[in-house]
Amino acid sequence: MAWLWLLIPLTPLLLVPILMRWPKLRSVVWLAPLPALPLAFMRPDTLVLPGLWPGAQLGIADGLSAILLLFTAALWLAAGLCAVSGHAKDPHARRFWVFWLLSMTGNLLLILAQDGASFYVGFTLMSLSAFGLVIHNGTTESRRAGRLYLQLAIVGELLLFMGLMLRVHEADGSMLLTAWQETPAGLPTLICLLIGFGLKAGFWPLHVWLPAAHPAAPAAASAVLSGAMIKAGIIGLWRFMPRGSGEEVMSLPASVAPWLLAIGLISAFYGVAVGLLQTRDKTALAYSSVSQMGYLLVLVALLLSQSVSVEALGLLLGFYVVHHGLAKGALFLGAGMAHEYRLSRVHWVLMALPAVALAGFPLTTGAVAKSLLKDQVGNSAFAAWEILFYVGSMATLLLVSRALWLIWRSQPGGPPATMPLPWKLGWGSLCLAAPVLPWLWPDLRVALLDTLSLYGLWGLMWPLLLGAVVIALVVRFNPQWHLERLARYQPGLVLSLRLRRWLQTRPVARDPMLPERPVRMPWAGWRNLERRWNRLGRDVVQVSAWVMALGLLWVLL
Amino acid sequence: MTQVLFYLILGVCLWALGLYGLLRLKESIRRIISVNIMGSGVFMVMVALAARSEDPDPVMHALVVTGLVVAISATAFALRLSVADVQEDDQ
Amino acid sequence: MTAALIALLLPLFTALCLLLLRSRSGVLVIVTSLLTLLAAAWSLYDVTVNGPQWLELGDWPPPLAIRFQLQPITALLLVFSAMIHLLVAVYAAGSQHSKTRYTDFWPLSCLLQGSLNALWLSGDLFNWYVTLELLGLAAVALVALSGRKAYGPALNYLLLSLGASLVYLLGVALAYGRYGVLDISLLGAMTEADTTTRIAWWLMTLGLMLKAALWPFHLWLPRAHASAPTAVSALLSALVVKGPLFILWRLWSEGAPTELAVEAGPVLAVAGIAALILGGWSALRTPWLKSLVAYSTVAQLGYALMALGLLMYWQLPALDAALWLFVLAHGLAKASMFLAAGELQASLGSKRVSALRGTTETMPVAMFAFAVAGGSLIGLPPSGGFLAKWLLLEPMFETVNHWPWVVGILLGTLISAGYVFRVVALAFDRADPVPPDFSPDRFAHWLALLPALVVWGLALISEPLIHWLTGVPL
Repeated sequence: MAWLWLLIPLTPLLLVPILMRWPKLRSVVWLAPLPALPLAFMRPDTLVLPGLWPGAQLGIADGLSAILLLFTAALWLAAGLCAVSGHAKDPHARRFWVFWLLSMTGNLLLILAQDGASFYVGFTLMSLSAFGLVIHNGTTESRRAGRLYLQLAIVGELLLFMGLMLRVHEADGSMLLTAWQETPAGLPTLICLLIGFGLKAGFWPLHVWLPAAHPAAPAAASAVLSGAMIKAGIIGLWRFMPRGSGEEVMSLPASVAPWLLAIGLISAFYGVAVGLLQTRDKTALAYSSVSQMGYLLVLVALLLSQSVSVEALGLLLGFYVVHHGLAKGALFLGAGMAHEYRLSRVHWVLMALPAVALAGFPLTTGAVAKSLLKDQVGNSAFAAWEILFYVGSMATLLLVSRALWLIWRSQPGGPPATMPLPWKLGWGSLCLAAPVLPWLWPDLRVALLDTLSLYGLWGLMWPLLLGAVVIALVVRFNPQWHLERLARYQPGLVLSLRLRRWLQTRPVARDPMLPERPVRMPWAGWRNLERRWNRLGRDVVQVSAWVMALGLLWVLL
Repeated sequence: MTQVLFYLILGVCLWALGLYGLLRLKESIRRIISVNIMGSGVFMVMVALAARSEDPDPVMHALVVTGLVVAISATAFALRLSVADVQEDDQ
Repeated sequence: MTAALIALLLPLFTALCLLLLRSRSGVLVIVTSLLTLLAAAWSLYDVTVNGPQWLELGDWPPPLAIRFQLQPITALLLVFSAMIHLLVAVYAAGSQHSKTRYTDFWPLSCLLQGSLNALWLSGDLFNWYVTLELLGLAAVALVALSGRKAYGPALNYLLLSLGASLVYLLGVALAYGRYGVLDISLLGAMTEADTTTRIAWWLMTLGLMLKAALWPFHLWLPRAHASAPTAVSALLSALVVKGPLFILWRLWSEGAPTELAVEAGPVLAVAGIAALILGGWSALRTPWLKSLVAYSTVAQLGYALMALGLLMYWQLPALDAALWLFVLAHGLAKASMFLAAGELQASLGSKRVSALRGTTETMPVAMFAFAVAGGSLIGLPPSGGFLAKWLLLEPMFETVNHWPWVVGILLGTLISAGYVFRVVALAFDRADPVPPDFSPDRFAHWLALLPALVVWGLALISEPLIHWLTGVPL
């Protein structure tokens, strides 16, 4: 039965040539992640593929992987359903679907991977194929964003590859992730992995591409980019980092942990601060992703600090990834929809569900994720920082309110239009997941019921009430601060553009009308030397005979 | 033994002279002649080496004969090529 | 052994037939090449099953005998040369832009293959001299096929080749005068590290280096290879320069006393690094496409020379595998590169590198072949070039003191990446592509891609191949 795992990566891959041949089939392509759903429940044995490379294994080893697989596939399904109607009239739909399938393959493969090489293959496939999704609209903005994305993605790939090789070396040639988790990691390895995965996860200061790329993609693609793909960075860190016990394994990672905590927290608040300044809804949502990835990085820091149990952290990581993935996916889809249709009241109620879930409203998935995170930080060596997580909930509420307001403002005029059915289904199910999911999923239900104590509710509510007061004040007094100029400062994008211009203008095109000015280049002396050297070598026979004679003299002496 | 040594040295000198010709002369015909002089030098060394014992070493002689065949055909080819090259320059 | 003899005699016989019948038909040569390939493959199978074999010509006893030796590496080289020859023959017969249809190319290329096969099979110093001369004459004649403008480079090549042979022959004479045998395996048991041996070995080495265009004796190669017709350039770069290299390897790894080899190793290795850097630099600077490819041959031979030098210096038989993988990978990649370059410049009507602007759009397959072959030359994983480089680097990582060699290889890799990407970057500049003058020949483009794919495919069988190469006793 182990071979069933192959269905997951092979189904989308096989659909690519089929789609090339019969483009009309694109209305069913969204079903490609379907095999993952039953397999996540069946959990067959791990599939060993020694013919591929030593140690190649696909499968699910722990509950976290099963959760990730199930919900990643579900998000791709729902977003795919929306994309069917979104790209029904798109002349380049085939291109979109090919990149969609490829990045989906990569994303699912990296979750299934039990060894470093398979993970890397999936990760790379996903990262590079996502470029096609980012630039799909073909506007200047999206091409610009795509360029920056690709530049950084390749830098990340290279660093990750270096990290991977170092990890293989440290583990004495073993490729297995379980072996890596028991092996100590050197500082260069940690740095390579942190930057390599960080460039994908998009926490501060490696986030520069994210607010540009996610809004530039089509709505369904931004949903999976922000919902599923950036999680790969965190999953990678989780899987590659050592977590064994023992002084020699964990001394270095434990000393790195406080730094990661600091970066995570900076990221969480930086994302909110810059996101609040944005004037476009999808950019604000992207900054919210930066902020949320900061919290996920805190989880990695907790893992490395070793002050909490790995199982509890794994479950929390699963909750958090699922919660944020579904909610952010729903919001991005909603933002994309609001640009084309005027939303009705029901739609707004639906849209509000993932938004309040992100802020950690009671009885939603967000409440579980946030309160468990606070508990874990409270139990760990970093307990002193717990208060910041309460403030963080308030900040998130402010940011999602701002994003909702921006979405509301971006709607076209006129009476509410009817939306296509697939869109309604895909988006609606994602929105409803926030309050409904806890009742369907036993683990989550237990955790949710735990938050319903008076103390727990108060812990969840006071930051939200504070946030509501701030919002009320802002609405009441409507201050005109004009801070948008600050938000326009995007150093990553500027550098990327500079690089492109430099590359394009290097061979200076000479205007034929201008008289040619003799320019003495600094290397002209070297060029002359080279010329003279070349002239010396023109009489081949003579020079070779000289060399031969000199060689003989050298031998004789 | 002195006779053998004399021819050995003479052969090496011829060989070196041929090499010197390759390194100093420019015209292709002279270069071909230089190569031939080098060849003669080697063959002389080989014949001299063959004559070290009372009855000369037949293997060396066979080698020299083979070498001569190779040298002659190569020279013919080189001459033809150099003539063609010069003709090209004239046109 | 019979199969190997067939592989040797078949091309010679075909060459004679073509000359006698005054026929210049390519089909016959293609058929012969195919048969030769089959015979070579059979001999490879034979030697892996039954072990090394000897054939004493004319049934003379060993000291007098001229022996043909069939060893695993010999059989592999037989297959390799038959493969390249078949490919080039199909190209020469099939391509629209081939200037060698219905010319003397056919008998000459058969002669070339025959003499090369004789070289692989031979095992004594004088026989190698004869085969080298045959090889050289055939190669020069092939270069001259391209007409008047090639006569100058061809003549230079011939003169140097003759001069080199005579330097080699003087060494042979000294060696024979000192030890009285010519067979390399007999010599190996007798040689001592005295002055005569040193001089004799160095004379032979210098002569062979000139023939193999190893730095600093490489000057004749770029002009000769660049001015030859495309099919000939591919044959010369992929096969001919490897012949002297083979002899050099047998000479030092089998025939030379250890002290001499250890002493000479660093010199050769340093020359290899110099070839890598200086040859690569010339490839980076030259404005002509075929010169670029030819200079890259000079540079790539540096790797092989370096492997040989280090093999002698450290007395590491493991580097044999690196050396021969280099030879195989470079031969395949270079055949692909020359065919692609020839097709590109014939279709574009220009020999300049700058004319390649936008070729990814106009001739994508040929450009892809060039880039893929270039990838193997750079040593990108998982190509054959990468494997060879990896094998070469492996012993260097074991000792800290070996870092200068690693730096040399690194520099060489950087430069080769430079000249490959110089072409590829230009080809991707689609803003203002140079339109082809003639219609591109798709068949030839795919043909050029074939060996490049094979060289990347080498990685798939890397493990058995390396085991096999390191396991073969010689």
